[in-house]
Amino acid sequence: MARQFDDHPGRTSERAFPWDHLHTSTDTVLCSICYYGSVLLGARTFMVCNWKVRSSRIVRSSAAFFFLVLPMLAAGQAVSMEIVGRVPRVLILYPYDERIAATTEAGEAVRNRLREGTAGKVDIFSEFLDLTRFPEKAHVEKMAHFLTDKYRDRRPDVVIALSDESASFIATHRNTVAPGARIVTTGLSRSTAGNIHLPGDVIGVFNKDDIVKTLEMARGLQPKARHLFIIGGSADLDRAWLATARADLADLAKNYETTYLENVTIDEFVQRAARFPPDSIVLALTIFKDSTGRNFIPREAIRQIAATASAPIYGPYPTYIDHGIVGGNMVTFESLGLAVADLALDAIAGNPIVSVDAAPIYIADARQLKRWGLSESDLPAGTVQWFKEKTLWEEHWLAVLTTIAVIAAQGVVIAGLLVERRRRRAAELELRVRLLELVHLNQSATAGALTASIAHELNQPLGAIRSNAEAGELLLRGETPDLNLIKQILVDIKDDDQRAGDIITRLRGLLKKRSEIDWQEFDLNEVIKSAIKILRPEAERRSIVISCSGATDELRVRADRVHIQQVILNLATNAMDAMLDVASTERRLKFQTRLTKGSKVELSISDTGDGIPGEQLVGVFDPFYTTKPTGTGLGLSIARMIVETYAGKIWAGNNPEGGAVIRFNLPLVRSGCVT
Amino acid sequence: MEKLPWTIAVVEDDPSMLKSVQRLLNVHGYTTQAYSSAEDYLDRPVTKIDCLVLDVDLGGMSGIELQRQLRDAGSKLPVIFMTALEDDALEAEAARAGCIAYLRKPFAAASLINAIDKALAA
Repeated sequence: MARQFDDHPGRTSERAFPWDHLHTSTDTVLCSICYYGSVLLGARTFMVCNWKVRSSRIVRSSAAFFFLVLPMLAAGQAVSMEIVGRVPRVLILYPYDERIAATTEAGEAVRNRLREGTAGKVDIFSEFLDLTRFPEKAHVEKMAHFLTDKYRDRRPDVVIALSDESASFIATHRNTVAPGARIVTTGLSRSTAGNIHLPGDVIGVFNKDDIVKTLEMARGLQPKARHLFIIGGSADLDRAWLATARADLADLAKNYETTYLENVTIDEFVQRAARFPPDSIVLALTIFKDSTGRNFIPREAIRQIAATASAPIYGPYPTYIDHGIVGGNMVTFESLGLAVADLALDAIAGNPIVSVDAAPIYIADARQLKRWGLSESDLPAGTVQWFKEKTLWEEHWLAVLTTIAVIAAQGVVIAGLLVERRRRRAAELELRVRLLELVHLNQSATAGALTASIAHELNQPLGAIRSNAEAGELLLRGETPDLNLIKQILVDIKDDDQRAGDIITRLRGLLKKRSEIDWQEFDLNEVIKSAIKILRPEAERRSIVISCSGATDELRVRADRVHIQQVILNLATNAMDAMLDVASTERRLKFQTRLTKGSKVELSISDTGDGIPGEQLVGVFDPFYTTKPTGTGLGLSIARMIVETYAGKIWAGNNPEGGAVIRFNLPLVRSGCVT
Repeated sequence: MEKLPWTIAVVEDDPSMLKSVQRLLNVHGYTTQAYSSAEDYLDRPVTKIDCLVLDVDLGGMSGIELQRQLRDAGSKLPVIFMTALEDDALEAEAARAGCIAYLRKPFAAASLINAIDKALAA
């Protein structure tokens, strides 16, 4: 009964091992009875009783069965597994020396799986029979005697034979080397097993090196190939492989100009390979020896050939991958080792075991595909590619995911910030609109407060114009009008009209409404002069003496001129109001500018009033702060808003000699000099 | 215009206004004496003055204060106030101080001439 195997580490959990329990001699007898009973009943598998579960059941078995099988003990094959108070022993037989990668890989897989399946409670022995280099019968017999003596006191419970040579060896010498041991094997085909007449109780993981499928893989990759080269060594195994290939490839080889490259030296292999026509398919079998009898590890020989080959090389063994072949249809030696180790574990545990067939797969070396310009899409379905460069995603998926997550998080943060910035801008715009409206209201209030002065100032030129006009009119009624005088009158009328126009212009500027800040550079001194012109009539009306001093150079600032003028008017009218109770001869309003550190210009407006109480100095710029019965308390707070809008600062204090002083500064566009 | 025998003193701190009023009176035949402030009027020797035209808001001493000082000093000189200020309280104060007329700038020439005629008649 054949079945496919798979690599199934979990199987070990189903096993219970006899050495886990205390065994008595009676146990051993009953165990043997159990085994033979199963043989008689036709079971092909070897059984080891799990005493914890089965001993009582067996004791309760019918006496008839006991007596039926007992007589057969003597006649039956002396195969039994007595594992009493010790760990099981497993002997691995390697057919070659330790350099041969195929069996070494398989053996290593066996070791690992055995240790894993027994939690380390196993004695593993390895013997390298070296049958390729020493095939002589004398050597084989000496080896058998050596192993018989060596394991006399430590008889293996299970022998794992790697390859047909090892299987044949142990089948022949089982009674001396490992009497009673169970034999499992791998690395050979079922047909080979039949050819070497393996006993029926030798269970195997069989594989077939299907060179036909390897050639089909090559045909798919190289559909335009016209030449086929099959290369093999001169050892018996090499020749056997070549014979097998000849038979298996007979039909397909008809499609090519086929050459079997054999019986040559390694150097000839290399030289010939370098001259293969480019449209060639090369199948490499094994080269254990060349024609001179020189021994090789096959994959190393293949490496030398592939290094200079002018056409792609294919092979039946995975150990050739990474040594220059493109690929082939093959079974990995590791998988064979794992599978045969599982059979050994089942045998030790007393589970039934049957032979299985290893499923070959197509394996390709991605680097060789690239080297020869062969298309990945031409590979047979399901081909496993080794040494394939991982995609960015495969190699760095965590970093990619992390990066994407970080970018996404940043995106969310940026989006949030953008939304926040938009809201902030909208709020700032709203605030600016409100500020502009507030400033305009403040301008209107200031204009209202200065109405009397403005009317007074305007009435002067209007009055002069009227008087001049009527005087001129009267002159013209005369018989001999004094034309020079009339001419002078007209000049004066024109000058007074200009004067009235200037007043109207200042008034218009005072009342100008902004829908947006009108950013402009201007000289702060000019704005101060303009404000004083507006204020002077009112100041004169109140007997307030205005003076101005400080920096005379141009003091360029960047702001809305009307707004800065409004700040000055607010501060000055406040100062004038603060002097209402001061004697008219003591009323002085002083404007002073100076340059400060940090390239700023500072304007101070001081009065000779009573000053500001110390505890109120901080709060004077708060909205609705006022000491005047009719004040709105908005003038100074609006002044602060305007100054801060243009990156300035405003603060209040008192003069040592009396009176309050309000200062504000603004950044200079260009530095002037202090005078 | 025929030259009249009266001299009118005009006290006005606004040069343009002072000049225009003086010119208007001259055209009507009056002789004029110009002063730029109350202090100026008090400082300079006064010759023959028949009527005083005073601006109310003179910067330093106001026109009303000047009139009060003159009256206190026994002057009977008729006074006509003129002003650019829109202040009813001032007008009332001027009336109490005693004046022929209170003219708000800009005023018609006839108003000033009529007021002077009235003052001279008084």
